[in-house]
Amino acid sequence: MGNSVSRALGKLFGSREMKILMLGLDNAGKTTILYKLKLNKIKTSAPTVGFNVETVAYKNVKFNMWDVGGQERLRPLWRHYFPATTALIFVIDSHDKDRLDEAKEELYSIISEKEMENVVLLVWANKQDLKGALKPQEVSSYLQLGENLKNQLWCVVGSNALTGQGLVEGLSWISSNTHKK
Amino acid sequence: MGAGGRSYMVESPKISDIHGLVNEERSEGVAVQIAQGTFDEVDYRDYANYLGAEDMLETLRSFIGILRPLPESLLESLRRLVSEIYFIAEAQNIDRILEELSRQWVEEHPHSFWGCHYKLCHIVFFSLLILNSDLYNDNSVGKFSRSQFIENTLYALNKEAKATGYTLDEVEFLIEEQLGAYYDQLKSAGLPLCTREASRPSSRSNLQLHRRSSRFSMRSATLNTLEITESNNASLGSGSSSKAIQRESNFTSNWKFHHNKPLPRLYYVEAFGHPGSGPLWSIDAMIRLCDGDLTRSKPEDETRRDPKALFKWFARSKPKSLFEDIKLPMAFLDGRTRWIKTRVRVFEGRIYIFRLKSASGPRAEAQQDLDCLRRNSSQYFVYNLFEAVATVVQENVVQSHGLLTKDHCLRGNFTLTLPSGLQTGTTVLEFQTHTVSEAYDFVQCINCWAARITSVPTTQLEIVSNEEYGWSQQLLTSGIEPQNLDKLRLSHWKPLLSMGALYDELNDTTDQPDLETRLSDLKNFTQILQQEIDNHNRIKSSMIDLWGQSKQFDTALENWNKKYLYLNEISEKSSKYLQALQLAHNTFQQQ
Repeated sequence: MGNSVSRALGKLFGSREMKILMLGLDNAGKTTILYKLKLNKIKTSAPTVGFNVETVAYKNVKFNMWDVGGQERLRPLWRHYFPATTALIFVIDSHDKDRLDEAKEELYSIISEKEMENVVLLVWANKQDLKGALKPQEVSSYLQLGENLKNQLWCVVGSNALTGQGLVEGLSWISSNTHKK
Repeated sequence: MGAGGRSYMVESPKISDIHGLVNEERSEGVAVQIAQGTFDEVDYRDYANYLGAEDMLETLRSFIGILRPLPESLLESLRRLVSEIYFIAEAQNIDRILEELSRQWVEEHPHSFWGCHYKLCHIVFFSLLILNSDLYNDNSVGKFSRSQFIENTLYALNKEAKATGYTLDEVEFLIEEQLGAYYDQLKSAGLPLCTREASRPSSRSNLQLHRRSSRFSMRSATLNTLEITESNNASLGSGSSSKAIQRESNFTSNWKFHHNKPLPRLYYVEAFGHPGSGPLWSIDAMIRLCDGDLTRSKPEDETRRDPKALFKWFARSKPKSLFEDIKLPMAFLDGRTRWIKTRVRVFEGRIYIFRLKSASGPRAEAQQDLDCLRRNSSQYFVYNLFEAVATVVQENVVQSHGLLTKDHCLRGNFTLTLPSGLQTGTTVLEFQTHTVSEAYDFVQCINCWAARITSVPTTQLEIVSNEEYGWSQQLLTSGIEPQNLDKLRLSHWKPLLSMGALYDELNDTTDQPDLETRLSDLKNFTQILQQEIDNHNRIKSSMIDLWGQSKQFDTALENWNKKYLYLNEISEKSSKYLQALQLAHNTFQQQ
């Protein structure tokens, strides 16, 4: 799928350079998503010590994603990446109800940073394949996005990183809501 | 912790000690093996993920212990760490490893200006690693400047200090100086990636710590895809590259078939349903395909051998009826249509179309080898049936018999609509069969396969967003002033792209549900869809009332219209799929 996704991105995003930050608690499925989306490296670059930084690249489109995570005290460090961010993707394990509060807190702590106020927010309600996973509607009411994000566009899409369900939809939503800027 | 861990328990404390010792020994053993690169329970590239896992603290502690004494410089300590382990991992795992490194570093250097604040060192380590990724990862955009790096790290440090109730004011200049030096050093020499001789190939997958990772073999899958892409591009020539790209995925099956590559299985294997299962499982016959300018293509042998020619067949015939961008069957109604005889086989989720060299050749034998058919064909085409829909023309078009020959009356026609990926249009092939019932057989077989392999598009209907298309509950129920309506930011509604638009070859079939599951998913979906359509119809009048006086009337109503058309389209397709699956279900149950 990696290949076709990058083609999709090419089509979707034109020649815009996008910076997309993908965040979420550990085990939300970020890496799986990243790998499902990526894997089209025509040019194999040498692996670099440290974090998974991935670019889903097609022609001029660079879809830059950092796997951001870690404890609260490290969060301010990611601030450097906030200013030019086009879209924030927040991945939630819809099946892990015990950690929804934690996820919500993390999401708000990031989205309320000043630099993030113009960013469009995509929430992937991931792991929809698991029985008992919260539906996108339930995730969205839990996160209270409607009440709290008045001036920002947001969207919750159900996803399953294993099959790729929802991934293209999500990116396509980002695409349709960013070129107006 | 087990009961043995508590000394007042009846159980002998010695036992817990022994457990403790065994665990400790095991942790140390693993740590040593990891440092030596000989630990083979996981791939060496996964060592950091393994060590950084939540429940590996003991081993992690031992591992960092092995690195001691740690250099006084934080950057050098980090260098020490990454020289001992392949250090690419998930952020959370990196976080835990660096935290342990910080604890032990502070233990070893209690008199540095960091004092006992291992959390501050943790931030610096993490920041250095971000800096390294930023400076050296080709994929990273927006490089740090020296001052940005210092400022950013200081910001995080101050925040932490404040949260814990102390201040860094006195040492801030020292920290700045040190960070600056680290920046310079790191810029002149990045952190090396540890590659060791002991990197013996391991059977474990890269992502073995992940949920159901066994399903997940994207690395190898991609290599294949990549190879295909490049070859396709090559074979299509450099000419109209945009066209080549648009069509690329359509040809994946074709390319593989042409180059004798195995075609992956597209469907979930059921206990029932096998090659002898009748026309729902496979169908194979000589039928006629509406011809464009097929006859003007290259000489036969050349066509078969030269992959370029293979694609030209389709590229050229595009403007003609073969690939016309229309959904209505036209060829059937057009007396001048040229039909060519083709051998068409539908099975295992694909349609194979052969133009045999001798049209009067062997009659269709269901078991005839594909390879043999290919050898005897001047042209052929293989297409997978993701998202495809077949329709019997006679269902929709009733012709006056008086105008047609008797032969014509008896014949059946069916169209096969294939998605065109990211292009907006679709591809329609039109076939003519000997009888109407034969057309039905083909249609049922095609739809049945398509329904089995195409995923149910639930995602699209479940999306929740605050985008305004003109029909949000809030808008329709609150009495908003017309002048405010004009200023409202209305988004243009369009269906989001889905996997369906990309329907490339599936590389693993484990994701496909069984027939029962798909059938029940589809049943639920069609119900939800029906409600959605009803709801959408219901809001129309309120929308007209609301937007009637607004300048944005057209935009809002166009949104309504687009969504309506979209819902209808998927509803039509879903009900076709549902019918096909129900038929398959009943048929196979009886077998």
